[in-house]
This record gives sequence, C-alpha cells and structure tokens, in this order.
Amino acid sequence: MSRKVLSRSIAAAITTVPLLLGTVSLTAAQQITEPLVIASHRAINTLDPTAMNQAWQLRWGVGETLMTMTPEGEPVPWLLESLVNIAPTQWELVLREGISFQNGTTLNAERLAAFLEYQSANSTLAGALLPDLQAEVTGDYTVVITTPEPDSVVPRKLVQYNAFVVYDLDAVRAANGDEDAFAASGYMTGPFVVESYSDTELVLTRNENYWQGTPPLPGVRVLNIPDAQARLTAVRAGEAHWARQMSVDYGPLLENDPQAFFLQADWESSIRIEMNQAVPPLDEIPVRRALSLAIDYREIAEDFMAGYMSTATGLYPAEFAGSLANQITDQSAAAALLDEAGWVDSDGDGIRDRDGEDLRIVLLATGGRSDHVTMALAVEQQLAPIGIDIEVQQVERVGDIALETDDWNAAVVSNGTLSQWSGSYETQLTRYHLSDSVQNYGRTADPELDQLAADLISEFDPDRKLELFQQLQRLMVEERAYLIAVTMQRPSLVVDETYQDYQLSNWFRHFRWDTVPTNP
Amino acid sequence: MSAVESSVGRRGQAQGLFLSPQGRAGLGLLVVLGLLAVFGPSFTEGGAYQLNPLERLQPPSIAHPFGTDHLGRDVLARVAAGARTTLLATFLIVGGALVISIAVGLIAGLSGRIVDTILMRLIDVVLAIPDLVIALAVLGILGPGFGNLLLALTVASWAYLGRLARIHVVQSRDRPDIWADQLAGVSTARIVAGHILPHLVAQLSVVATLRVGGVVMSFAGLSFLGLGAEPGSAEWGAQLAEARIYMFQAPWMVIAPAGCILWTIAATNLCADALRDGSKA
Amino acid sequence: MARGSFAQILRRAAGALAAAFGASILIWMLIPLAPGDPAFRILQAQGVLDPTAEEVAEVTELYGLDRPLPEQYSIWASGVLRGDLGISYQSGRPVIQEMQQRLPATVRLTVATLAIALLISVAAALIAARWRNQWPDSLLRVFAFLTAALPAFLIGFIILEFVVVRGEWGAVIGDGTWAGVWLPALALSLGVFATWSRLLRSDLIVAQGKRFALTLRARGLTEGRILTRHALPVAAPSFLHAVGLGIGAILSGAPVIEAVFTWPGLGSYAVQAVSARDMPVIQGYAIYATLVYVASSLAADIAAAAIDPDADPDRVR
Repeated sequence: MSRKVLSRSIAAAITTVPLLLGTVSLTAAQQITEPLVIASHRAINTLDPTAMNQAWQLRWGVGETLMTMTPEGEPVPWLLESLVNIAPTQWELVLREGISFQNGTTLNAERLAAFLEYQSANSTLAGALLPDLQAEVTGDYTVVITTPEPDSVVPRKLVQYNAFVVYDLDAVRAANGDEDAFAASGYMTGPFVVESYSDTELVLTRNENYWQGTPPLPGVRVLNIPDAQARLTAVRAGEAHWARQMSVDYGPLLENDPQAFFLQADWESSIRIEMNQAVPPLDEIPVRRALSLAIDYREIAEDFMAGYMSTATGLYPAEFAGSLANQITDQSAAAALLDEAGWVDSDGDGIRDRDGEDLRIVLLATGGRSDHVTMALAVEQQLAPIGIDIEVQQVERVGDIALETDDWNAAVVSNGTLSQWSGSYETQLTRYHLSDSVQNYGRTADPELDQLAADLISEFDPDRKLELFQQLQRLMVEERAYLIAVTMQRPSLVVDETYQDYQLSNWFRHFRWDTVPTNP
Repeated sequence: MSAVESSVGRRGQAQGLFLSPQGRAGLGLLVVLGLLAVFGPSFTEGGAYQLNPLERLQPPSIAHPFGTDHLGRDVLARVAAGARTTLLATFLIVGGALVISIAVGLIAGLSGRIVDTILMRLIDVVLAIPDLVIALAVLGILGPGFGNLLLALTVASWAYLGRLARIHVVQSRDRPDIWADQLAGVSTARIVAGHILPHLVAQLSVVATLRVGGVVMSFAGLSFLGLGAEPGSAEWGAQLAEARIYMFQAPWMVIAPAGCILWTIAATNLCADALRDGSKA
Repeated sequence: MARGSFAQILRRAAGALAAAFGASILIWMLIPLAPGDPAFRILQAQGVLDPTAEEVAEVTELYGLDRPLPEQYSIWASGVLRGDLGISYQSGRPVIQEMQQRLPATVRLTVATLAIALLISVAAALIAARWRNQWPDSLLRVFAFLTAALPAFLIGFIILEFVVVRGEWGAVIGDGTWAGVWLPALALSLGVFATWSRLLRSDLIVAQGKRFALTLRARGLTEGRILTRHALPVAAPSFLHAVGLGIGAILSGAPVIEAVFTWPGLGSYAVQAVSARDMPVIQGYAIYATLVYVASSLAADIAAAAIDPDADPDRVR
C-alpha cells in the first residue's frame, strides 16, 4: 500500500475492488453449526445508533462504515465504491450498488444523504468531526457532501467507528427510542443481525443477504462477564471461544496454557503521558524534555510489559506513514538539561531542587488499569537515579481529575491514533492539544501548534502535508515536549484452541463477516 | 483507662491471657506479627517496592524465601511491609470502633430516656445496613482512598459494639457496689471511671478482638471491588486481590499474604478466647 | 427473647421498620453527598463525555437536583414507595425494572447459600462437639480458619478451577437457575461457615455440660442423641440470632461471589454499578440489602422466640 498521505490524486485512485480482509474460503465440509461465543464486558447499553459509544455495532458486525482501513492504516472505501475530493470543501461519495439494510431496504444515495445530515446534526461525536455537513443527492448512488471549511481528513473521519456507522434513518425514526423496536428494525447493513440483547447477553444471527456473501458462522453470542479472570476461566472451561478486554498481564500467564491463547495484532496505539503545563515544574520546557529523555522506553515495553507491548520510538506508531522516531532515551542529556535549568541536588537528598523546591512530579494513573499502574511505577523507578521524584497517584478516572483540578503534573492516558482516531492525528490533536480543545489535559496554549493543526486539516497536497506532520512531531517531542508516548500497546484477544491460529485484524474489529475457527 | 485497680474481671482477664496456654499461644503469635510489622520493613530495605521485571514470578529461593510477584518484587518484603499497613489500619479501625462504642454506650446508658432512645435508634439504623453497603456509601460520598476506607469500616464496625456497651452500662447501674457508691455520694464520673469503664473495656475488647479477622478480610473484598488500598501498595488484602490471576502459576503470591491473615486471625481468636475465659473465671 | 409474646414481636417489628426508615435517609444521601455535580455524572455515565451547560441544566431540571434537600428526599422516598428507584446512569433504564429481572437469581442464590451454610455448619458443630478436642474437631477448626483467612473471590476461583475447568462439572457462567446455583452458593456459604460452626459448637459444649445432660447420660442416652435431641434445641436461640446477623455477611459477600461466578443477580449488578459510580443502582441495591437484612434478623429473632423455652430443663425462673 501507498505510504503517501491521502490526497486528491490518491482519493481518485481508491475506487477499489471489494476489500477482503483475511478471507478464508469455505469448503462445503466446513459447516459450522455453533455460534461464536465471546466473553466481553458491558456489551452494550442501548441499540440506539445515535447514542455515544456505539463501537459495538462495527465490532460485532452489525453495522458498517463507508470507509475502512487497510492493515497498513490507509483509509479505503468499504460501503462506498469511491470517495473523491472534487473541490476543497466538496467530496463525492459513490455507493457500492446492491447493498441493502438488514430489513431489505436498499442503501441508496437518498438514504445515505439523510443519514449523513442527521448524524452530523444529532450525534455528539459525528457533529464534532464533521459539523454542519450538507449532503446533496446527485445520482441514484452518488452523494456530494459539503463541509463548511476545506477538510482533507474526511476519508479518515468516515472510518470513525462511533460516529459514522451507517443506519436506516427511517427505521431508526420509526423505532422512536424503543429498544425492542430497534432490535426488530434491521437498521444496519452488517453480516450479523441483532436478535436480542439484555444486560447479560447480546445475541446475533447471520444476515443471509449480506452483500459480500453468507457469513459462515450461524450467529454470535456476546456475553457480559465483568470480571477479566472469569472471562478467561470461561474460555478455559469451554464456555466461550474468545475473551475480550484482557490486559497484557495475561500474555506471559498464558504462554504455556493448552486451553487459552493470547493473540495480538501488529497495530500499535500509544499509552501517553500528558503533562500539565499550567503548574510547575512541568511548565518549563527543559523539565518536560528531560522527562521525555530520561524514560527508558525499551525497558518498559520489553521488560515490564514482557514484550507484549512495543517500544515507543515516537508519538505515532512506527508503521504509520510519516511517523518520526524522534523519541529517544538519553539520561545524561536529560541530566544536562536539568543542570542547565538550575535544577541540581543542592541538599544531597538525591532529589534535584531549585530555590528550595524539590523536583517532584505527581503522576496520575488509572487504578483499574494494571498496565498503566505498572508503567507509572516503572517511570518512577527509572527517573529516581537522575534526581526526579515521581509520586504515583492512583485515581479512578484520570480524565476527570486532569480536566477539573490542577493537583497533578503528569497523567498516564491511553490514546490510539490508529485504533481510536482512525489514523487521524489531526482529529486527535484538535480534541486534546489545541488551546480550544475540549479535552486539553495539558492546558496547552500554543498559537504555533494551533496554526499547524489548522494548516494540516486544510492541506491536500501529500508532500506538503507530510512535511507539516513531521514538523508537528518535532514540535511536540523535541522543541516543546508537550507529550510523551510511554509505550505502544497492541490489540489483543484470548482465544480457545479452535481459534489458536486466528489472524487478528489490526483494525479493532477482530471479528469479520467470514470469521471461522482456524483449528476446529 | 482508669487508674483504679478494682476490676476483678480485668485482672482475671489478664491472668487468662498470660497464664492459659491459649492466651500464651495467642500472645506469642501476636508478638511475632508485631515484630514483623515493626522490624520487617527495615530488614527488607524497601524491597517491597523495588521492581525487577526480569525476575518476575520466581518461586521461593534463598534470595527470595517467599518468591517474587508479577513485577519481580520480593514477596517476603511485601508481606512484611503489608504487616505494618494492614495491622495498623486494622488497629485504627477496631480501636476507633471501640472508643466510639464505649462513648456511645456510656452516654446512652447514663443519660435520660430521650438521648438513650435516639442513640439506640441510630445504632439500629446502622445495624440495619449490611457492612458492605455502609462501606459503599461512605466511599461513594468521600471518594475512594485508603484513609476513607478506614473511616468507612470504622463506621460499619462500631454499632454492634455500641449496643453491647449500652447493655453493659445499663446492667451495671443495678450492681450493688455501684448502688453503694451512689448512696455514699461518690461522683458519677468516679463511678464510671472506677467501676463501669474497666468492666466495659474488658467485656468489649473480647468482642472487638474477634472483629480483627473480619476487618482484615474486608480489605481484600473491597480491593477486589476496586475500593481497597491502591493496587501495588503493600497491604495484604490488596496483595491477595492482585495475586488472584497468578494463583495457580505462582501460588506463593497468595499463600504468603493469606498465611499472614490466617496467623492474625488465629492469634486474635486465641487471645479473645483466653480473655473471655479469664473474665468468666 | 425466649418469651415470645405477640406484643414483643410487634414491638420488635416496629423497631425494625423505624430502622429501615432511618437507613433510607442514609441511603438517599448517597446522591446529593457524592462528589461532583450529579447532573454531570448522569450525563457522563450515559456516554456524553463533554456535556454542555444546556444538557446539564436539562438533567438538573429533570431529576429535581436543584430543589432543597428535604424536598429531594421526599420526592425520592415517595418514588421508592411507589417502586420507582430512579434511572440507571449507565443504561438509562428504570432501576426497578433491571432489579426485578435479576431478583430471582439472587433469591435462589441466597436461599441455596442459607441451606448449604446451615447444613454444613450444624453438621460441623455437631461433629466437633461430639468429638471435642479430638481429630475431627481439630480438622474442622483448621478448615474453619482456612475459610476465614481466604477471601471469597479466591475461594470462588479455586472452586471454578478445580471443579469446573479441571473437574468438568458445573459452569463458569452462571445462568441464574437452581441447577447452576450450587457452586456459587457453596463459595458464599463458606464465608459464614467459620463463625456459625464455631459458635454453635461452643454453645453445644456449654449445653452438654448442663445438669440435664448429666441426667440423660446417667439414663444411658448416647452422646449423639443428647446432642441432636436435647443440646441442639437449647443452643438454637443464640445460634439463630447469629444466623440473623450472618445474613448481613451473606448479603455483603454476594456481590463478590456473583461477580466471580457471573451470576446474573443483584450483587453483580451492584458491582458493575460501583465501578461506574451508578448511584441510583447502588441505592437500589442498598435498599434491597437493608430490607432483606432487617426482615431476616426479625425472622430469626421470631424463630428463636418461638422455640420452646422449656427446651432447656435447667432454665431458672
């Protein structure tokens, strides 16, 4: 796949053939009679597609997006035939023909346009991604959307799982918020149809008329099992095929287990340290930079995480087009920076100080995330020798505290550029690091960064965009040190012996329309 | 405590504790725990928190007599550090509950009907709510944290003792020695200090001692629910909650803290038995 | 307690009712006293990460969160009496509806736990008292200590590993039926086993030492018969009182065991609510647990009172 960033030229080129991720051809002998049973936590709260956090619809194959991502992280059409940028503010969407919702209604231009406009106006996240979207029907299967400002990120935004999973607006309107009516409405296009759901179980059956073919699995049952160890036990006892949401603690634990296997995909998403630039000592660039230089990223990924995470070499995953490996470990450089800034250990207690103040950093970690806690403790241990005193504080929700108070200096947060933001670092930046960001944990207020983000969004030329992207990374890591990627986590899944050779997809949707046991 | 040494019960209790085999065994176990809590952490020199990722889940050896945990920390060092945290916290909770219940018992037992009724109804209310729900409520209001947890468990623990205390105080009002003192014009404060309090403390401490095991165990249960001591901190209950996923691969991670808890329960039960037998004698 | 007059029971019941009322005030205070703006929490729990001022105002209005506290309490309490426990922050569905769905599973678990706990502790106490200070007594003492020192979740996972995974009997994922109830009930009953069995054992031993037992022994009755026929009824009232209190321990232990066994009952519902700080659900669980606890200790007291006081031939008065 192309390493180029999406552009007019490439957008025109992506009028591709059906993309079959990891297709397994089925012989007649491979008749599967049992549904796939997945142990998960909090499957769903509502079937209402306009509510937030609707990741499950794409995850369980109920719904689909207009665009998807290749294993390399490039946006490509899925329900669309093509997506072409026809003017700075205009994109032409051509639908694949022959796609219908599960209720039999054809997905045509008219219904697509209605969906897009409604979603932009009513869904919180879709509205934030593509506000005031106008959609005009220009053919049976062709829609032209107009954005208020030039937006080069549209292809990736249409991949976004909890914003643009396509549904039948008429069916959703007719259901009028009633959960049973949603279940019966067949409002999406995916390979599996919601049969029933409760707070203990989500039952799906296959969509016989799915546009890519009949799914080999007769159905899927997603069980709500809140406790991770109980999910693993369910797999080991043969009561579930897969267990989701298993921490990397289980990786080494399952290395010799004949009943359960810990699978991982290649894609990386960062676990980051946000730094509060509003209070000392992280209001100073040299201290932030020293922190970034002093952390031993290799030790965290390879030793503390036993190799189940990858060493962070930059803010973005190494496989991501244009990412820079500019995050390095150099403790002597870190020490030199601190010396230069006047932070020296004048009282001999092993902690650097300046004007009577110790170099002390309160690092927040989510108590419920054992990997975050381990990482925070590891950072504490790594920074002690160069005289930085880290005080790890475990809190229930880092986000709440980081946004509402100033009683912290740094915070461990998970944030996947690819997994969470469909590879749109522009969107990620807009949400977290600009002066008007809604989740500006770091209190970043940098006009240069704001301008850079605006330029990135409106830049369509791939070479120029790549240049800006790298400029951004240098600014964020080397020049201003706003952010640290502590380590890179990978999507993971625990499976039983019948799926032990299963290829996890990089995109968080491990479960595909043609998923079958690999070792029946 | 009172300076007046008139309490037969107390002396009998003390004898029970020091002279009976049960009492001696219990005290012996407690002394070992105390030594572990006081000196253990300094011997192991911060090993309780030293991460050695390359030595994770090592079985017991000479270097690590109780093995290492999933982050390569020395389990012996962790239970030693945990002895301090857990026992101190338990002592604060049980002691706090004892103080509150004695105060409430005295006030209720010696005041007029109205105060008595109000306090007894309050006790009924607190007793009506299961301990876990009280802990959830207190932590829900104050937010999670080990300090708040101590408060929550104290709140959950005092009511039962308070009711016993009040019954004891009311009963002792009818004792002949107290009648005699009252007739002789001895002040209420002196009667309380000299005659009621020593018996009360003696009686309640037996029951309070028996609560120790329950309190230590509730740390573990609340840690499982994510409401206990911070994961990673050296506290037996939190260690057990953390160890649970490794319990079949690295059983030493479970056995060490569970053994300490067993030890504590055995020690306090033996002491309570000895105290009770002594006060009956 | 032994004289079970109707008036006494009535007075005890009135006291229980008053206690439940007092408890309801404490339980209600969970929401207004919890940190942060409740409206904000409701919205966040429903997935609105960054609520706007308008959304907060709307929720505040909807839930009456801006009214004076006594008024909020009376709104809440009258709702509770009508069976309205509010809306779950997480799911947006009425709490009472979700609780009704889960109630049968929890009732089954509680009943089965009580049955197992009574069975094993009475049996253990009788055996320990019959062979006092001999090996069966010591063995049971060690077992009781072990159950007292292992937290419920470890006992639960040990049972799952050895019985279900390796023994291939029973299920990891609880289905809420009578067929599936026995393993979680066993794990839960071990939580009260130590207290109950040791307490009954010492009461039985006290009863064995009484004058009537000597007489019976002189008449040639076997020790086993004295224990089951005569000592047990004498020891029963104080044991029943402990059982009444032990229900509290079962209710407190249920959430952990239900979470471990994925039992679709109220306890696991409460655990999920705790991690999400879903206050209406926590309140609902608190109300349920309090009512059951109050009612069961009342019932235990009435049962103890109903046992013939003349069962103890040595009773003075």
